[in-house]
Order: sequence, then structure tokens, then C-alpha cells
Amino acid sequence: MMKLEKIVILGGGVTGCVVAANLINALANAGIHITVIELAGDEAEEHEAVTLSPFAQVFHEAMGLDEAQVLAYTQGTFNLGTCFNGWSSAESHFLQTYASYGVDFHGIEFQHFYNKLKNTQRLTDYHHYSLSAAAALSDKFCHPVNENTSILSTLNYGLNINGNLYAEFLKKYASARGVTFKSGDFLRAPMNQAGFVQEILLSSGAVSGDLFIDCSGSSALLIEGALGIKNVDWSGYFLNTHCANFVRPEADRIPSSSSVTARENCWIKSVPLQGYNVNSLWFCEKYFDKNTLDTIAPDIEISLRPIAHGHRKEPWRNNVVAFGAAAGMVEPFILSSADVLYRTIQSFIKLLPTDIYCPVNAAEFNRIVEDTYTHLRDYHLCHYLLSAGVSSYWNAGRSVPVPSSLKQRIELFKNRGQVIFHDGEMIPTTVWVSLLMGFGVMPDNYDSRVDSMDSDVGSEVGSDVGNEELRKKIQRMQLIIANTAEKMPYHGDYLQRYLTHARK
Amino acid sequence: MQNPPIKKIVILGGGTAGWMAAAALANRFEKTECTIQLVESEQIGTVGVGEATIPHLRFFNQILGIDENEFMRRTNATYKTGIEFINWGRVGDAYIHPFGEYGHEINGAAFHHFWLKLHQAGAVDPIDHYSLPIVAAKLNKFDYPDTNRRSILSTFSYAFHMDAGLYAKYLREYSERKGVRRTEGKVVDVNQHKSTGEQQDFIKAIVLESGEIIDGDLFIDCSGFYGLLIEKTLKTGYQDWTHWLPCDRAIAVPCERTGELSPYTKCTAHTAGWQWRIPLQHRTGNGHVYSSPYMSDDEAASILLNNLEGEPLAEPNFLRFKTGRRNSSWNKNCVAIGLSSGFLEPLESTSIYLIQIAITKLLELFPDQSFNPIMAHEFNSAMGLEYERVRDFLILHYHATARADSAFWDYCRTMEIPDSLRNKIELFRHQGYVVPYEKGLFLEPSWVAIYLGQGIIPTAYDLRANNYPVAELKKYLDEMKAKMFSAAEGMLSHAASLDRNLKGSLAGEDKNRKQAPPATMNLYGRQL
Repeated sequence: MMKLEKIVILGGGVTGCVVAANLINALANAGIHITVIELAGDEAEEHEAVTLSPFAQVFHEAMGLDEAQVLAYTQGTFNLGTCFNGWSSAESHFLQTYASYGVDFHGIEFQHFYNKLKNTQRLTDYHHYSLSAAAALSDKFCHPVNENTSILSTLNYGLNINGNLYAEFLKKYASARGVTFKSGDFLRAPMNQAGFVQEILLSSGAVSGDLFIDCSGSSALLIEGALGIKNVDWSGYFLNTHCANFVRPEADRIPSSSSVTARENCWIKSVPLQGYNVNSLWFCEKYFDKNTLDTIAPDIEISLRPIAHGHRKEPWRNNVVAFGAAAGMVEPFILSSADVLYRTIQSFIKLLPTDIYCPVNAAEFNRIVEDTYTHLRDYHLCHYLLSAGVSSYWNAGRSVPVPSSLKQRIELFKNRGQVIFHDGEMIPTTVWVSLLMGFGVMPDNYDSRVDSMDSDVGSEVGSDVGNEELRKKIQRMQLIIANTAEKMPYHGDYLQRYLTHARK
Repeated sequence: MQNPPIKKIVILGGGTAGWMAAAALANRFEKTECTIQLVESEQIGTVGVGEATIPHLRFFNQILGIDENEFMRRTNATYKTGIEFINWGRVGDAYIHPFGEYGHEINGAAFHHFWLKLHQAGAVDPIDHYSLPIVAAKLNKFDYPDTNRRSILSTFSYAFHMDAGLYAKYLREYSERKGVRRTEGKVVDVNQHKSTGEQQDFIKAIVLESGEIIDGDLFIDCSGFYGLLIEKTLKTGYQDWTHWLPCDRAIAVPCERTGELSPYTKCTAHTAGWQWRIPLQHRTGNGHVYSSPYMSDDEAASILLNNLEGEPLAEPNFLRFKTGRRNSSWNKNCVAIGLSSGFLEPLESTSIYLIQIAITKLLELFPDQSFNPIMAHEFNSAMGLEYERVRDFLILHYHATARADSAFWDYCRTMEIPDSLRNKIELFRHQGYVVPYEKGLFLEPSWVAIYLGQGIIPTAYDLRANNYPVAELKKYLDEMKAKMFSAAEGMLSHAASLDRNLKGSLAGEDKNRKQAPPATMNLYGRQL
């Protein structure tokens, strides 16, 4: 058995640098040498803003990264969630956050109380019961407090950062801990007869290793180029064929959320960074006139790239493992590729073999990655299925085959107001609920345990008095949230103070 | 729009499952128009489905608003923080599966990887010495876990040993107080809807020997192995798992309790099965679970009677079962809960948990009169997963053995096991990796306990353990062990805790008396 001693990462963009930083943090003194090969195309590949959800951001903590430093270096901002414009109707507008909504009583989720009242009373929109959403609606932000009794403890946030600067930041981190960076033009990756990559030949020389990590983006130089592993094609589920990126200066206040806006024949994600917005426009060639781009973003440089929905069935084969765009592609809704990346690296580190290759580890990793993508597929597909656009683009988006797992999910929610959590799923049930409610899927029933609980709000049950008490309680909650959001500082001011303070 | 709600629930059978279901449903529907009727017959005995539980039961009781100390007094209960397995990997081996974790995670890697590195270097104690519930259990110590999550005393949870018959009786009182109507009688016939359409063959009513006809919208089948509604009436079908879990009989006998009161269940493997020992306040419950093709009833009985700690207090009770699961626990308007939905031997005290989880799922997915099939579908797939995950975990106990002293163990050691389990074992054997899942029972610490306790020692470990030299790790683990032992030494004895909590002033006159901590659906307590 050959011992694992040298890991080579092909590609030094965001993906390569995130992988390198995580590996060196996990294995700083474990006697493993890591080399990153920077490729000419790295920057173009990652010409995007990166949104890290709070679920991925915990790994910054594990790596000992200072949040203020990350934000300062990457022109980053705080992100409380995603604002959906024009999805469920032309005027519709809702905020989806990473945080929970309302308060659970006795283990029964808040949405059931909301749904009970909704049958008899006029209630304000669901997102008004989340402080994160209320704050984001008025561009406010502050850090959550670590005090359970305070409403401010319910805030939950991620980060928006500039991808290229993030890569640079992590490169410094990794270099300082002993990772070697080399650059060159990729020529080829010779393999032995068993299909194991032996070394990578660059214009500048050869780099040998035991385990090769393919972070070369959608060109997938190793996993597809050398090993010939194709994508599981999801173009049957997702129509979009292209993504156009463009940058615009920040108009006014810095929002504390990103946004996704449905247009007639496309949708646009907008991520606020310090002083500017990074936009990506997602469209399908067949339904989109590229001249429209000039009206949406006149006089701005636009970079256009084709996209291919899907993922590798086997992101790990022999001694090659793919991450990032080389492993799969998903559109950036509330969870994005960066979240998948962070999550799958953690599984990979647990499964890093002592010997160069262990097929059972690779199979387990591939299973986890496939589950991750499959759950995300359902979640993302849901956006299109519930969209209300009337153009042929949106009509086509809604006419795709619906996986039974998703059908079951939506139906159960419609019926019962419940979302069942699946093993290995990245998306918390609260995030599912806020999406479905935001899109206007109002359940027919609520958990009837709610009825037997009315005594807790001090009244006769089933009576109007019970409803009245519940209504008051929920109204009070909403008022506290609104008042607290009102008092919170503007995101831009807060960010500036935070960074200035950190610099001192 | 809203369909008409269920107005009448009929529960058939009054064992542990029947009364647990009745209590939970009564608690939920007490103040509604929905009525609940439970039919049981004193002529038909109940199978006490095991007297050992896991910590989740505390959560069930908490939702019902049951006072823990009162519950313990009424059921002769004692505390439990783990299960000891004796003679499983080899004759002479013993280890405890604790209700707590080992050590704590370092740099994202689980404790056992660091332990493995030291183990390879020959420089470490058994992993049992790094788990507080194990260390305390061996000293017969018990006290409530600390709610302060920074305290080492917060790193475990607890369950009970109890008299399941008394628990059913206690819940009967609770249920009747909340309006459940109990009817004594034997079912002689079941009426089904004849009409074609969505409700075809739905159960309409059960007919008692007395001639009484009991109508209902929803029928809960707690009639035991027999499955009077789910099987005899609806012919749902059963998956037989005997080829993986070949025990099919049990003999139970209580005996006098002797010696110090221990806070854990004992499961001792014999030549064709295993024996349980469950310490209650007033006696010890014992039983021998065995495989009839490999052992006669007489031999099984004599092994059991020769291995009692005190005088037997009753005649041995002989039971037969077939391990497996009903194809669907929820079929039409009938939901099977308890033995009618499946049977897994009580090796890991999961029977009452499986009842509890079925009740919880039923409440979450509670149907209306339209009986949307989506509810049954979700219920059946969730329960299927629960049963299969426990099943695989139980099979591991039989399969991971070096025992070659009987035909029974030769069979278990060499039998084909489910692919799902074989893959898990292989991943652990290779480098101590435990396949992660979040739903259902038995997460990483439990798998580690059985693997290591039964001799599956990985050849490698998580590479992150190589960040630390052996000497440094050893020092760290030595200190951890010292802390565990000193914390355990400082705890009350199990008997003293029972005295304090159950025999102290009843009305809370003693203000300093410790309160039971809030219950959760977690087997392990907090991580250190």
C-alpha cells in the first residue's frame, strides 16, 4: 500500500483555494504536502461574487479566519437572506432568510400557528415574523446577540464576498501554512494502466502527487479530460443555458440581503459588495434575445458563459477527486455552489484515505455528493415550478418532469403545512417552509396539536376567545420584531464601523 | 379546503402500545369533538414488550405532562445510562453501550480516531474509560445530568428500567381521566366498507362477542403479533427477517434482587441467544432470547434459571415471535402500532421507542376523513426507515463476533448481511468512519461502541489524528480520563439518587431537591 503523502490541487481559483485552505487547516502537522497549480483560466472561471450561507460560514471559524479581515479583504458585506422579486406574481416581493420564523411552541413549528390564524384573520406576510427578514427589508443589520431571551439572538447571516479576492485571501492563508503554489499551462495528466494519474505536465514542468484534486472548473481537466467521467445531465429539469455577469455601482444604501428578480425571459441575481453590485443573469438561449442584455445593462462590460446543469456521478474515481464546477453546477439561490463546496470538503476530509486509494471511501463520498446535489435539485426546481411568469420561458420552466420526491414534498406541505427533513440534506426545513410560504403555497391544514394548546395562551379552546389570544400573542411578536428592526443600524453604517474598529 | 376531521378513533388492544397511543391521542384530542375508545380483553394477555427503555421515553412523558418521579414510583422504575454486553465479541468480553459520547471532537474529527492512534501505539486504556456514563455506571453511580453544557456532568442522558405492565396501567388511568372510553370485550368480527371507490375495504366497525358494534373513522391496531386488523382483516403482509436475526423465542422470569443496584441493563450472550437482566426497585427482570432451531425450550429455560441472581418470583413465561416488519404499518384507515407493526428483539431496548415514534409520526401526519394517501405514504416510509436502521444495528451485534463455540454463532458470524450494513462495517473497519445519518436511531457514538466493543478495530484512522504526537495525545487523554473518574466518584450512588428523588418529601417541601432536567429526543446528552 502506498501512503498518502502528496496532494495536488489543479486550479487556484476560489474552489482550489477553499480546498487548499480547508485541507491545510485539517492536516497542518499530519505530514502531508499540498501543492496548488494555478491555471490561466482560474480568474475567468470564478468571475462571480460568492455568497456563503451561515451553514458554510461556521467553517471560517474552524479555520480561525477573522470575519472582519475577510470582509475587509474581499470587499464583503453581511447577508441576511435573499429577496425574491416578481416570482409568484409580477408585483410579489418576499424575503427568505437563513433564520427561523416566529417562535416554536412546545415543539410545534410556528407556521402551524400562523396557518391556523390565517384561516380567520388577516395576517401580515409570513416574512414579517422573522427579524432577519424585517431587518433586510429596510437594509438594516447588526450581529446576533448570544442571549436566548433577546429577539436579536434570532438573527442569522452569511457573507457576500468578491470571489477573486476571496481566493487571494485564502491563498495567503494556505501559503502561510505551508501549501505550495505553482503556475503554468496545463498540458496533460499521464495515467498508469490502472487509470491512476501519475503527474501533471505543465508548460513549466511536471508536478507529481498521490492524490489529485480537480478544481479546474467546468473544463474538468482531470475528472472528465483524463478519466472521462461525464456529467449527469439535468438540462431536462433546468432550461437555462447561459449566465451573463456584469457589475454595477451601488446606487444607494447597501442592502443586507442579496436579491433574485424574475424578468420576462430570465432572472437576475444581484449581490451587493462594498460600493458595487455583482449581477448574474440566467437565461435559456431558446427564449432569450441577447440584445435584451443591452437594455438591462447598457454600456457595461458583460461576460457571458455557457452553463451545463448537472453533476458528476463519480466525482471521486481512482486518485482523482473533483470539487466546484468540475463536480457539478447549480444556480445560486439561497444556497449556492460555495455551500456545496464547504459541505462536501468536510465529508472528503473524513474519508481521506491513508493509502492512496480506497474504493469504499470513494463510493461513500460519491453517495454523499449525489445526495447533496439531488436535494438541491429538488429545492431549486421548486422555484421554477411555483413561479407565475406567463411567458413561454416560464411556461417551459414549469413543464419539466417533477421528481416524485419533490411532488410528495409539495403535496404534503399543501395538505399539512409540513416539510419532512431528509437525511443528508443541506437545506433546513425552515428554509423550505419560508420558500413555500413566500411563493404563496398556503397549506389547507395546520398541525391540529395547535388546537389542544390554546389553554397555554389562557383561554377556552376552539372558541373565538382562543383565536383572539393567539392572535394577540402573534401580533405582539410581530410588533417586537418590527420595532427591533427599526432600531437596528443601517447595514452600510454598521459595516463601516465594524471594519474601522477592526482596523484599529 | 378543509375536509371533515376524524370524529372517532378506535384503539384495539390495551398493552403498552395501546395505552401509550390512547394517552397521547387523549392528550391531543381531549378538548375536541373527537372521541377515543379503547377495546381490550382481559382474557387475552399482553406481552410486556420489555422493561428497559432509552432516553426518548422521557420526552414522551414530558409532553403528556407526567411527573417523572410519580411515574417512577408507579412503575417501580430505576435509572438507566447504558447497556452492558457480555460475551458478544468473544466469551469473556464485556463493554457498555452508553447514553453519551466518548471524549469529544477535535478539529472536526471524532474522539475515537485519536483513541485509535494511541491504541495502535499501545498507549491507551479501553475506550470505556473516556465516557462518563460508562465510568459512572461501573461504579453504580447515578445522578441527573447537569444542564450547564460546560460541565462534564452534562455529557450523558438517561432512561428507565420499569415494569411495562404497570406503565400501561398508569397510562390507562391517565387516558380515562382525559376521556378515553375503555370497553372490555373480544372482537369476533370486523365490518368493512363494501362500496367501491377510495374508501373501499376501509374498516367500518368492529363487532364484539357481546354483540356490541363499535364504529370508527380511524382504527389503531395494537392487538400484538396477531395483527387482527392490519393483517387478519386487511392482509397487509409481513417481511420476515429471521434469516438475519434468528432468535424466535423468549422466556421471561422475574427474580429477587440481590447486590448493589446498578444503573444499566445487562445483555449476556449464551450459546444460541442472550439473556437480559433488568434491575427494578423491587425485583430483577430476566429473560432468555433464543433461536429454536439451535436450542430447545427446556435447555433455554434451564440456562436462564441457572443464571439468576436470586430466587425466581414466578413461573417462567414462554413467548414466541417472528422478527420482521409489516409491509405497511398504515393501510387504509388502520394504523398498526407496536408488535402488530413489527418485532425486533429487545437487545437495544427499542420496542417502546418504536411505539413512541409511530405515535409521534401519526400525530404529525394525522389524517382527516379524506385519508389522503400522502399521509400513509410518508408514515410508512418513515417507519420503514426506523425499523430497518434498528434492524441493521441489531444484526451487527450478532455478526461482529469471533465466537465459534456453537452452530448458532457459526451461522451468525458467516451469514449474509444486508448490503447497507456490510458497507457500513467495511467503512469502519478501514479507517473508523461511521456512515452519517440524522433520522432514526443510533448515531456515531453507538456504532463506535458496538464496533470497538465487539472487536472491529479499524486499521487506520482519520488523518487529522496525525497532527498530534503520541506523547501529547496521551497526556491529553490521561487528563480527560482523570476528570471522568473524579466526576464519577463525586456522584451519588444509583440507590441514593432513587431514595432522594422518589422517597423524599412528596410535595416539594425540600426546596433543594434536584429537578429532573428537561427531556429531549437525544440519546447522548451534550458533547463535552
